Amino acid sequence: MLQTATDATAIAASDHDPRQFGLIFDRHFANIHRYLHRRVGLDLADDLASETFVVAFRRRADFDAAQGSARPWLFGIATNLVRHHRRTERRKLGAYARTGVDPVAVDAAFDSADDRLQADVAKPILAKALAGLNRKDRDVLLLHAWAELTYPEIARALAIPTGTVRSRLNRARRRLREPLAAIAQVNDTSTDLGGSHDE
Amino acid sequence: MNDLDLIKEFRADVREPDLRQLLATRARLMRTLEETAPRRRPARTQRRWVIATVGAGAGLALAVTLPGVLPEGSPGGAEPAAATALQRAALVATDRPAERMPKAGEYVYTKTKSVRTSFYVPGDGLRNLSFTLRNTREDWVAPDGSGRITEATGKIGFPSSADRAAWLAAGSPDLGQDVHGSAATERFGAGELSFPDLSELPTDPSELQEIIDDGRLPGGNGYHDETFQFVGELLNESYGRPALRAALFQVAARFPGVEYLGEVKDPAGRPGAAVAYTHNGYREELIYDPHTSVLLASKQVLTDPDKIGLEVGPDTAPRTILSGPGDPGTVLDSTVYLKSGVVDSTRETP
Repeated sequence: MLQTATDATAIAASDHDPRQFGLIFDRHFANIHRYLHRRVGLDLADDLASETFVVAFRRRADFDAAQGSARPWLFGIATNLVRHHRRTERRKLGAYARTGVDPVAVDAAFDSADDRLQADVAKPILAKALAGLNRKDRDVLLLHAWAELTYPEIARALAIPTGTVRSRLNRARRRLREPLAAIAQVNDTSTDLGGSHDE
Repeated sequence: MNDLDLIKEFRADVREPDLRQLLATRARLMRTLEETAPRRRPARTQRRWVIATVGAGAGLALAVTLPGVLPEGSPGGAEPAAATALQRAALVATDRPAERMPKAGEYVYTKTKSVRTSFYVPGDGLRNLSFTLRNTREDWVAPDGSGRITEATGKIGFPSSADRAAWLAAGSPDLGQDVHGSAATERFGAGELSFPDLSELPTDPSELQEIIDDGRLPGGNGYHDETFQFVGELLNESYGRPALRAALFQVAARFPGVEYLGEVKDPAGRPGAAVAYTHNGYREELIYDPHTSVLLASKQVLTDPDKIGLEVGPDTAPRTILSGPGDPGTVLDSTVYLKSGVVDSTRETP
């Protein structure tokens, strides 16, 4: 008996009744906020996440109902908003790399001293590597790894061909290979030293 | 662990925004969308008025009921203080023990007192006037829809001496009610009263709101649906389901621009907290006990008489729209929920 509106029907209905857009917010805000938080930090994420939905609402006529879920579309908008703040993003990654303290997740809890040790050593290396990526490659990589979008979804989100998604992702992963190998080594070492971290 | 897994783990432990913050963001966003959106809505049927045509002239007594329509062009979301208060009420509701559901042969008893303001439009250039009716009502309703209702209506009253003078100047017209009040008891057989079965209603606020918005409620009479007050009525009828009560408070938080009025006394003098929703020229207030989340009272206050438009009919033709007979601040309806509980017979009270 219960009918659940799809994203597409809610967006269409919001054309004459903006309240309907609340459903899009309820479904996707937390994920968009989390993605932005990881990219640019909490304060900016609060603003950009709201802005994402304002922009989406304004451009709701552009939403392709055939897509079904609004998720890729919203992540695309959020990613475009991050572009205006890429210096902030790089600065925060750089600070993490230099100090070992992540300005984006200063209050994140660590499970154990071992995790902290591992985090202290490995994560700044990754932060530096991410900061060093080309902006477009970083967008594709993080939409894939953090937003968990598929190649075709990323292509729709960023309005680029799927082939381009693949090549950017490959390039990003290639550039990260070396620093990531270093992290793997660090992890192995810390495990050898008696770390109890389970892989 | 491959390279992508390492990236997936990076900053995976960022904090989620808390619920209160989320509600506030939602409310702000919906206000922004409202400003962005063009103010238009498809026309909806407006079931508005209980009308009595009075006398031979143009005189009409108009008992105002609330329009069964959604707010015009207003998107959802409470003010932050209201969102916080309603969220707290939802939590309190969740923590309360479930009330006993009535079994076959048992009755749900409720006692309410209400004061309702109606308008009389004499026409012929004479002053419009307001009058009030007081009503005390006791309901006993069994799950099979049988039961008993006793109702006592007090004498017709006038909010001000000017209203009384206007009534006299119009020739003391019949206001469609017994001037001296009345009392009646009526018994009902199985199926004659509505006993809404709320046991199937979802406790997810979004789903519940959809059902309310669509008027798909069990036993819904298509009269109060979609109004804030209706959420209040459901609160009053959601026997035995703390989770449903909690969801109703969350639905209330989604009404556009719902405000928190703070701690107040209800019309019976009991302390409570009030939230209000203003739309279409009215303010609807719900007063509840913040310690138990039990609904104490509801009120409707006229805020913008020009917005309400009184529809005259259906027995007058053609239908006439009159606007704004009352003054802003007029309490159109004030209902106090005095007592409720499950009893064994229509002679008992809890």
